[in-house]
Amino acid sequence: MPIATKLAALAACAVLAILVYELVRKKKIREEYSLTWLALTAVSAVAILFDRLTLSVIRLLGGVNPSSLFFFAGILFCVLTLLKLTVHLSDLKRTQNVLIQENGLLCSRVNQLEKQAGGDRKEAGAGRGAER
Amino acid sequence: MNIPPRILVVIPAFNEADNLPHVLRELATLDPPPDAAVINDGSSDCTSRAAFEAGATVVVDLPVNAGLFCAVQTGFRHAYRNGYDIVIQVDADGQHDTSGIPALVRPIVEEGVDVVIGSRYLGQVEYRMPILRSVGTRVFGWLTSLAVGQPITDTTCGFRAYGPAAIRLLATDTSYEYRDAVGLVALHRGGFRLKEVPTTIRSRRSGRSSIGLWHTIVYPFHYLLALSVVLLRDPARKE
Repeated sequence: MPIATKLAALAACAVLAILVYELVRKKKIREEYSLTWLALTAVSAVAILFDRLTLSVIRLLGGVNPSSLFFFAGILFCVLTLLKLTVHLSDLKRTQNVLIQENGLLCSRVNQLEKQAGGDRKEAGAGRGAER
Repeated sequence: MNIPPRILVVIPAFNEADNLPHVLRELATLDPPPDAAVINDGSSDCTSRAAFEAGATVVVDLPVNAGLFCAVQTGFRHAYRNGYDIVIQVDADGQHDTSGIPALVRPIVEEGVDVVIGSRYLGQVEYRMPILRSVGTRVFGWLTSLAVGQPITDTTCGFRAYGPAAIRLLATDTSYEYRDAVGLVALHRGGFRLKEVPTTIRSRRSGRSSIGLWHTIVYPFHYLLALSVVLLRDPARKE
């Protein structure tokens, strides 16, 4: 791999890593979700730095063009990330439904208690009126 | 002396302000009239007020439209926490003939059945069902019968009664396994006893069904996937 290409690829990895780190620092991404992205940048950087090793892995897998491994790995990463997010989304949906149900039940209970308290106050007021 | 069971009728409602008062008035004619919990599933009309004015025992307003099963399960949670013995699920569109409630309750009280399903195919359908839906429900009925080893003719009818053990499970299990026709298979595998009784299904009093074409197309695939998963999964056992 030409040195200029290597440097550009490493710079792209560094930018991605810094971006992810910054998003974690600004609390836009939680630490546990950032780890996958940081691992991606680390693995990519290793693959770029040791390009001969990467090339031999590609040949071992029957690849001809080195870029095909990167495309394959990229697509695999996207699919696995989407799968992970789907699992997370399903879990969130379940939690959301429980919260919706509990919210509805609590509001109904509060309304009932407020009505009851209003009724009690009215009765107490009427009682005091009768005493006078 | 036998203590009569405490019955709660759970009515999930989404934009049913026109039909709901009729359903609640009909329930009030039963002897004794059961408690009615209307679960307003994020309606944009005045479903909630209509339910209050028509005399619902409790009205639960969900903050957003969360779907039928979420609304029904809210009713189960309310029933479980307030010590009800039997939950009857009734649609808010007036399609279910509530005079059939005693027939739904009887097998739970007298035979110890856990879930009683009202079947329009054993009883009467007073409206013309779309042909696709009619064929679909019969095929699902056949597949469900095969899976549970007893004849179930109407798996999609929402007019059902649940006994105490089923109430406990449906109120506490958040896996959503019990939300569709496949839920009957999951319950049967968990040791719950199912029974069908004839019922009458009428046409909607007003408005349109929320079941659209997309739902009708996707539902068979969803059913088959859910059925295969339920058959391979360890069921939650009846306590």
